[in-house]
Amino acid sequence: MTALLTFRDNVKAFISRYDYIFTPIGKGILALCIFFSISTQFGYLAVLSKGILLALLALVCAFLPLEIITGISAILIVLQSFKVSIDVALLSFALIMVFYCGYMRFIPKSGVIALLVPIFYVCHLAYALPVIIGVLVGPAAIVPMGFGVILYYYEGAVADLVKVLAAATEDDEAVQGFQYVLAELVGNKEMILTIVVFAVVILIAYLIHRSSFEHAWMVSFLVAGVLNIVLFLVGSITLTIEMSIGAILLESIVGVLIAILFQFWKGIVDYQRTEVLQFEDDDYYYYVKAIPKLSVSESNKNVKHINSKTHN
Amino acid sequence: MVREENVKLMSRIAIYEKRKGKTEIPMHCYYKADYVRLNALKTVVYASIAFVLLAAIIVVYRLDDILSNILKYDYKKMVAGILLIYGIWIFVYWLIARVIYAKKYENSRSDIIIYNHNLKKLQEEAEKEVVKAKGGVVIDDGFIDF
Repeated sequence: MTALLTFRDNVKAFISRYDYIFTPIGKGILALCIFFSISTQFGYLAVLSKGILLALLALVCAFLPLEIITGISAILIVLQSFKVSIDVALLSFALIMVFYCGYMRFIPKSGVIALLVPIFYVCHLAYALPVIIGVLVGPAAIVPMGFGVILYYYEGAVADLVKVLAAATEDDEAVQGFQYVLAELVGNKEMILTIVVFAVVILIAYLIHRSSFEHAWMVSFLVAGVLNIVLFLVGSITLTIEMSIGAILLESIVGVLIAILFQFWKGIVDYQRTEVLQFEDDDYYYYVKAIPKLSVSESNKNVKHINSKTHN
Repeated sequence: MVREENVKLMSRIAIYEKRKGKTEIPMHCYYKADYVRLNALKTVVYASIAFVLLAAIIVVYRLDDILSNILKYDYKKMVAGILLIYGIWIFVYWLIARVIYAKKYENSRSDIIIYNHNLKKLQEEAEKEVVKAKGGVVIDDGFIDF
């Protein structure tokens, strides 16, 4: 365990020192994953689904604040929806604006959480999400998670609409894209169940994780995992929704394992960064590189045990 | 001559200005009450936009129903109901905004105090430099003797 902790501290120190390299790389990869996820789910406009364009956008996002990724993603979704129909594009715009005005203004970074949900669905890790997010972010993630789930099912509803439009002949009654997509969303019991279960699991996981009793964090992961499984099973039986029990079980267990892993690496993200600064006074220009002082424990420590002698 | 102490101070100030200071320095241009009130007002505007958009989505979704029953509605009751829902919606947002922005302001207070302290110290150092350049003698406790 000591070796593992030393390894973690070393990694932390390394990342802290080369933060100016790792942060843009991390942001770029995150942006690329999100943009590719959007183009996979909404890939109706070929121009906006080209790999080079998405890579270039991700490259730009690597050097800009995190909120820009959300902004560009929103634009991509609306533009892709235009190809389906104008009313669907307007609906996409309206839904995104409701999320922005209603929540994202308070916590701008929450947009990224919403965009990560469809990626977790694609990776078959959706049921692991509430366990991980509940511990990492807390109740502030409930609304963006809910919006992310809506976004995922919205993509499915738009894909269904495209199929219906393609199959429709001239004699058929005109399909209102706007109403079709909304009807699919409102009538989607699985989506509503997912949002409710995610919210409950996040809240419970957070409350237990914040408790002061010993090993509260471990208990929170386990309770969140079990609660996730139980609530989804009860919900699917009560509402007669077809859900893969195997996927719920497996993904919840994976969620608990990922949460434990995150708990171990938690301190890795809130480190003091290396700062590259430029300022000036009347006489000089200063180019300063401030590297944080970190105490890294040595791996090869020599521990000398001194046993106290007992006197008779 | 480059003075190490000044560079340290300037670096600390620059780090703050680059990170947290971007939001916290403009925040402390206001009194707490003004800052909270202004942001609560902005929130009310955004919440109103969200409400109008949500209402528009619901209306368009139920457009067929609405058109078929357009003459049957009791408009007085309907408007009163919408206004009541809007009032509750806005009140909840206003309340949340007040709590969040008051907390934000309080949380940033300690940072801004340290920042101001560093600025003051830097200014004092600069004043000492000027005195020295003019041939004066600066004693450590700030007493200046020409």
